[in-house]
Amino acid sequence: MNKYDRQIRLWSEAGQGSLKSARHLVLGVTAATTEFVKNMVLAGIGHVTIVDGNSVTEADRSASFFMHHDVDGSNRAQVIAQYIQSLNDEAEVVGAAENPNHYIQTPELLASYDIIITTRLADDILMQLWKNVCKTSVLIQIDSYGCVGQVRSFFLWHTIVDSHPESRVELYLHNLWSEIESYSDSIDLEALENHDHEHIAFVVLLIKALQEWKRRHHNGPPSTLPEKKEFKAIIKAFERTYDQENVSEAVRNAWRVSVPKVPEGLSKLFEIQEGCNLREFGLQLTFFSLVRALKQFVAKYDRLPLSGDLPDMKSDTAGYNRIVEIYRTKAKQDAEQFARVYLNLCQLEGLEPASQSEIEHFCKNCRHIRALRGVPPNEDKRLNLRVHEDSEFKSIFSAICGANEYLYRNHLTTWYGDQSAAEALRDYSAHYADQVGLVYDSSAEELHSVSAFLGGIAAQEATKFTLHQYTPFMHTLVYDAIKQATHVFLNGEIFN
Amino acid sequence: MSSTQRGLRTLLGENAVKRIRTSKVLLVGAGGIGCELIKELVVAGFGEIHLVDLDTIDLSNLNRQFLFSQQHIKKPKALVARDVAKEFNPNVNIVAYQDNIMDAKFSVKWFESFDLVFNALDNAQARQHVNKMCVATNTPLFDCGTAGFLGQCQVIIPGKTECYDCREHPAPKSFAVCTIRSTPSLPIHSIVWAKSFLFSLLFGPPAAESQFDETETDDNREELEKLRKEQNELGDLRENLTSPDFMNKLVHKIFMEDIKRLLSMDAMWENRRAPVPLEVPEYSSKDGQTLASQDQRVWTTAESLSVLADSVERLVSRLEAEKEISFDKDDEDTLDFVAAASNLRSSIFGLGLKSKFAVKEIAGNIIPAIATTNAIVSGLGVIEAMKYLAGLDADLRSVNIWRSADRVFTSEKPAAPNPECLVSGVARTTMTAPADFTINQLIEDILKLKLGYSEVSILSDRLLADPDYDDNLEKTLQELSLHDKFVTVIDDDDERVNLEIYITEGPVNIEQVEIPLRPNQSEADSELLDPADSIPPISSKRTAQDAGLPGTTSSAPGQTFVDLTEQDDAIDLT
Ligand SMILES: [Zn+2]
Repeated sequence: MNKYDRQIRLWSEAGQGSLKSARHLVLGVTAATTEFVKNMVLAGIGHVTIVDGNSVTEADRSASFFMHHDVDGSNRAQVIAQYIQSLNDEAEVVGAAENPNHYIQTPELLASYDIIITTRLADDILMQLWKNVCKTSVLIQIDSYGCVGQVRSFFLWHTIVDSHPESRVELYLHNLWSEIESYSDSIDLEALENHDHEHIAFVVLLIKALQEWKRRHHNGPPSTLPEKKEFKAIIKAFERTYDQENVSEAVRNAWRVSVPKVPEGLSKLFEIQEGCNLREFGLQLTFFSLVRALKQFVAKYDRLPLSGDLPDMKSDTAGYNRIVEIYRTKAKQDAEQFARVYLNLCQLEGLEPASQSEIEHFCKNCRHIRALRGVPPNEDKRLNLRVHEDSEFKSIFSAICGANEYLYRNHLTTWYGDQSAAEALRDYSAHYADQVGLVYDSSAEELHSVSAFLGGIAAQEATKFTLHQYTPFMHTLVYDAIKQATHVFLNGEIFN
Repeated sequence: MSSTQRGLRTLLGENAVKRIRTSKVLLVGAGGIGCELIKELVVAGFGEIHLVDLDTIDLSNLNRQFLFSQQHIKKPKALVARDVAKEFNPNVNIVAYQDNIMDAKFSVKWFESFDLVFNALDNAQARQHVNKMCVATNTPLFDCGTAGFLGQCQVIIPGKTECYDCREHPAPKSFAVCTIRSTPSLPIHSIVWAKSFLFSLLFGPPAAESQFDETETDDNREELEKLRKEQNELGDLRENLTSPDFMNKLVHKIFMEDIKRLLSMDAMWENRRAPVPLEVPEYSSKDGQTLASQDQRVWTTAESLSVLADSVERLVSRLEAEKEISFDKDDEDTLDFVAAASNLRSSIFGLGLKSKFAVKEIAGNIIPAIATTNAIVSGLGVIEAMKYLAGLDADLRSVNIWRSADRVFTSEKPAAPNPECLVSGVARTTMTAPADFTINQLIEDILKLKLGYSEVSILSDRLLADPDYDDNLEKTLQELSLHDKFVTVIDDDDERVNLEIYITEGPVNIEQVEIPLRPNQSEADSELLDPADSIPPISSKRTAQDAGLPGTTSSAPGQTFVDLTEQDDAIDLT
């Protein structure tokens, strides 16, 4: 057993491997970014560099567990790095006593990190950083002010192979192959005794019903409501005994014959990569070359590769085992054929191919892959202020952005009783000033529990980005602790 | 807490900050959520924290329980958490107990001394116990829990909001014996069979009594007869564990003969997929250990047999030193046996096969756990506690974490207590009585004479007395160890709500108490005007079990229940 057992059960050893090889950069120490680092280090991140030029202050002490009188005057980044390193010796935690601006303005220093975490950066600086890193990293900003805060994420593309669908079952009845068809044809329903008839797997009943359907109609599987009704009636006509269980199963699964050959989101991905130079996808090169290979597979075989997963069904043992075997064999063949198509493509394009297990993993999940297209920080802000969105959260968002701006411009970390801060916040929030007081009253101090919440959310998002599993939210999450409510300002596009 | 916290003062008010600093907090559980809560409570400035956990530290805790590291494995969670927290932050002031929170020493009086309680537990029994103590002592409870990416924090203000037991919680999975023994239809059935039946009969403590409901009917006579025979044969095999052809005999019996016997019951397979007796391929115990280490991959039949043979050899060799062996998910020998045997059975019944890694999760009832969800839930819990102390009662929210596209969680105002709840919907009082006070005296002198009951039933963690059960009448409080415990008084005339009496030692005295009528009863009264005409409600008598009382087995907070306990004709997965 290993110490990551309880999370490997969620995201597999391959996922844990992705965490192990990930590198994060944290620009600026706050209670919220400290919590972020703690969570990632516990989870087994490979490397994290924490950058901050300031010493531990009174405000830090009131919100961070690792800062107390004993470390007064020490550099924040180094204090945090030292404590958090002690939580997991398999992670590498480095504290750099430098001004984050130095990193932001030096692209070479930013190049090797998958995810860059910022806090309280003014929007134009965020934009400047974004321009330097968008081709190589995901950018996450965490802002925590008193009872409110937000987590924002920025990326060009993010791709997900394992979105953890509820089921990967797919019967592929719209495009039968010879083995399953001839197995079905070998069964003469009418010649069967009642007992045997009751033990024919519903998959066979669906295939036979579909054959009958094709004799009656020439335009593809049932799609309209009356057509679906008619199709169910065909199945129902097989029934010999009242409430025959396998027939009911077939009726319940009748929708499976009308499942689109290629889901809509996947078709869009096929279109997006069409005619592109795959290298334009940068970090997502492997994913999109697999997508291109998948499109070629579909062009050749007129369906997606089988996953091989089957639902449970009422059937005699021999029949069930035969169907399982047919599907498994076909899934295996499909995986081999897909790998061949993909490797050909790589050779043609001169690409470094993905590993055997990555190819298999993609093939098994191909029906459920996802891609997200993000927006840059300036775009994010403009869209976030769309009038129809929730105005309370919009106001908090505006006030927080104003606070970031004010602190950054004035080289401050807090603003106890400073009236010019109140004015700056109000100016910035313009029409959305109702919630400015909540942010102003915090004096830019953090409440540890609010920061723990935000650091937990941000680390969970960073984990999803690193794993390429599960679906992160798009784009900005705003939190109000007093109302105990969040609002996510959705932005960008999702293909699934 | 810092000397300033100006931000906190402005946000929550001076008074709240003072109340936080002077509060005495009980934290039950020093696991994933517990570690987070310690950190948050310390930084928020809570004055005094009492921490209770019986559990010791395990390697698999380290991905989230940040106060623990390799060197602490097998040491008590509560004590290590206290010491390490102090190393990180000298302001920490924790009183730690390595104890079971359900222990009688954590009395009502002790619970009364706290301003707030946090539950950070992973088992329902201990949660229910703390909930009951909090309701009885009118102490606010913040009940936190997580499972993988999901989690919740329930705010419980006794008398004002729902308690943990006001809503029903899903019952633990349980399976009929016949499903496990004769007609498995899911991989989990094979795993339960391998663990709770096969393994325990071969290596476990001798079964005290038959596992079967002995009442025979025409329908099950044949099946029960066969199962009994099967079990006796296994008992015979146990006598020959050390014989050289034990493995052959075992395989022959459980995967071939027993299956054929099942098949002979035609009626059983009319509507089910029939099993196919195992065709035994070549295998050798030599490869067992190597294969057993490949825990992410599904083994073939021959591989499972190799692992089974090897694990049997390992287990048998241990029997010289250990008289019996119990299943433990972290005991590789027992896990290998269960993983191999369950997969062989699954292949016979045409069920899905599982890797050893997956079998461990099911057999050990392992719940995935990650640091981030614990941090999120703990953050929410402490925020609610601070809002409570700041007097923001109207803003209190219970929270459920479940990710959707546009929110991280849903929050709701805590609902009012459920009048039918057997924890919040009862009357409560305390009494003192000496050690030699008998149950009969309790009934006659107190309940009938002072409180005006006519017929009553009395329960503690078991039935003490009812009109038809008088075995305990002459027994004393001391003999029945009832001091510092609750007894539940049920009105057998079904008019009043249950009464919970907390008994401590002293001269005979009971606190005055008003016992309201049952909700349906008072409705009936108001409608019918003349109480004499009212029809007694049909509600059945409540038993110890549905009174939500803790059972007789004690359990540790912070400990996942790993046992498949067998009761009568059902096997529970708790
Ligand atoms: Zn209740």
